[in-house]
Amino acid sequence: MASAGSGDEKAAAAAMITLISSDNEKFEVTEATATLSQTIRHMIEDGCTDGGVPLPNVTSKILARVIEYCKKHATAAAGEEGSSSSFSDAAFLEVDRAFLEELEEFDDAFLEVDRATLFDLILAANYLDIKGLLNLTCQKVADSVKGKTPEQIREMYNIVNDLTPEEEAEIRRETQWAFE
Amino acid sequence: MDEATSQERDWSSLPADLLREVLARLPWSSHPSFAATCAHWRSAVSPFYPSWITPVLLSAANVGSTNLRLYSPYYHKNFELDQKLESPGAKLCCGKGHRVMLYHRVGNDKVVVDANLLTGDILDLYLPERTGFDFVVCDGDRERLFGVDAHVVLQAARSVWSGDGEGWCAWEFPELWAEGSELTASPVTNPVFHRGLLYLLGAGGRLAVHDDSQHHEGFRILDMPKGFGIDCDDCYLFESDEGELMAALMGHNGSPVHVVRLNEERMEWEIVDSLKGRALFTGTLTTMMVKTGVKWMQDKVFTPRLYDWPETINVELVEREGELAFVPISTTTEQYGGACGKSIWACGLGPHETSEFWETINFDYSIWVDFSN
Repeated sequence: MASAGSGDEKAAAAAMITLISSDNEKFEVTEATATLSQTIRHMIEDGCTDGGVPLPNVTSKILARVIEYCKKHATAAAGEEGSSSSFSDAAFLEVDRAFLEELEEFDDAFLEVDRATLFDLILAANYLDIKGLLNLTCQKVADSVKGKTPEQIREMYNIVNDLTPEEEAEIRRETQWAFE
Repeated sequence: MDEATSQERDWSSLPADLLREVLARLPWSSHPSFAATCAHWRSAVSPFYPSWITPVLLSAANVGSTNLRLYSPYYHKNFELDQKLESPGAKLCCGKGHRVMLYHRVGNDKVVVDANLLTGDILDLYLPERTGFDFVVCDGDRERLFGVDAHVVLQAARSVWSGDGEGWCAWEFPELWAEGSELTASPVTNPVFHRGLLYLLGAGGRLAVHDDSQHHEGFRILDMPKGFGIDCDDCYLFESDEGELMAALMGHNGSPVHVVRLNEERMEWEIVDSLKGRALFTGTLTTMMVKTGVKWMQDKVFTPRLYDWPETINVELVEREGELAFVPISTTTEQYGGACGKSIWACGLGPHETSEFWETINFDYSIWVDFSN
């Protein structure tokens, strides 16, 4: 429980949601944290979260990571909202920048995962419709394949080349510029 | 649970909509490798045409509003942008990537339009009364914009980009100017930035120079060089990819073509006998020399003249990590490979490589624009 939190956090803490992973583990989270997921937000709006929200596509291990991400980003969002009214512009910018820097550091550390976890996080972010997390994880994949050859990408992601020689020749012909 | 994490995941089966999320964050130049990974990944890659392989010809077709077309000599295709400009009759002046400058008359007003082809944003920069420009050029960093009057008086007006969101500042005109009659400017070529100075080419090969640090002094006509020493119908000034001041000289109906460089010690034009594998795109207000890996384009001079009218494809200009590509709006089935080069007029510099303009279609009022970074 957040004990040293602001008034905002206390108010949010009043509404708790229970998320249930595919392996039946229960996670208690604040509504502010849970509603970073558009999927859960809609469930709350439809009033079908009593007795917990079953998430049959997400394991407890991945759900724990997703909640970690949402908690951090929900806190940051609440902090930004709170600060905008109580600080002067310059002070606000300062606080804002500190928040963003901290958040960026958190995101970088958060992405230090193996390929299997990254894969599961992408699927979970998509299923739960968490835009920030989907952006973060897909950007990680994009950055890793940028400038790499097909062979390097296959090795990195353990992919078997099932293209026929004709298909490979066709790709090469259509994108000749990439080889000139 | 730990067993589950150490298990391999089948990345080749990542759903296509998620592969597209990855592609949306991947520079265009990496898309072919992504497509060549496996059949499923390939199926997620949409067709596109890179904009940066060679300079492309920007032209405007007026059909009520202004349709912008980009002709790629590499593909021999016209890419028509879905962005329209509401500036009928505007003259295309210069461009760098998706930022294009136009010169436009609206009633009695004259205005320089700074158009962003990616966002459709337009900045209007009105001229004071009784002034007019023959050329509008922008420096490489888009910090300074010059409007040059080369006929009534020889002068350059300047506008500076203000970093704090104000856009272009009001035009500043010099106090003094050279008489326009002393130098007959070549009307077909823009002035060119070279070592921080703005050079204006006279039709016979003389030069006038404008030093922006002494903006109020205006243009100074140089004593040297005296002229090209070669007869030509049209001449085009440019700075080479290696930072030399050069000019392309075109004979009657295209042939012969000469390229000259300015020897800055002797202040004389010297004939260049080889493009050293590079391609030269000229024949418009803008001229550019680029290194190219495309074999058939090496050592060739290109002008906006075509032997047959290219197919037009409606596209959207889309940015991916700083790279711009033409993305077809409707799915088309034609091939995406490059053309072989028989469709645009081209000429080498060797004595036996002459080529004339006969039976070509001229791309009027077009300019070469470079989309590479």
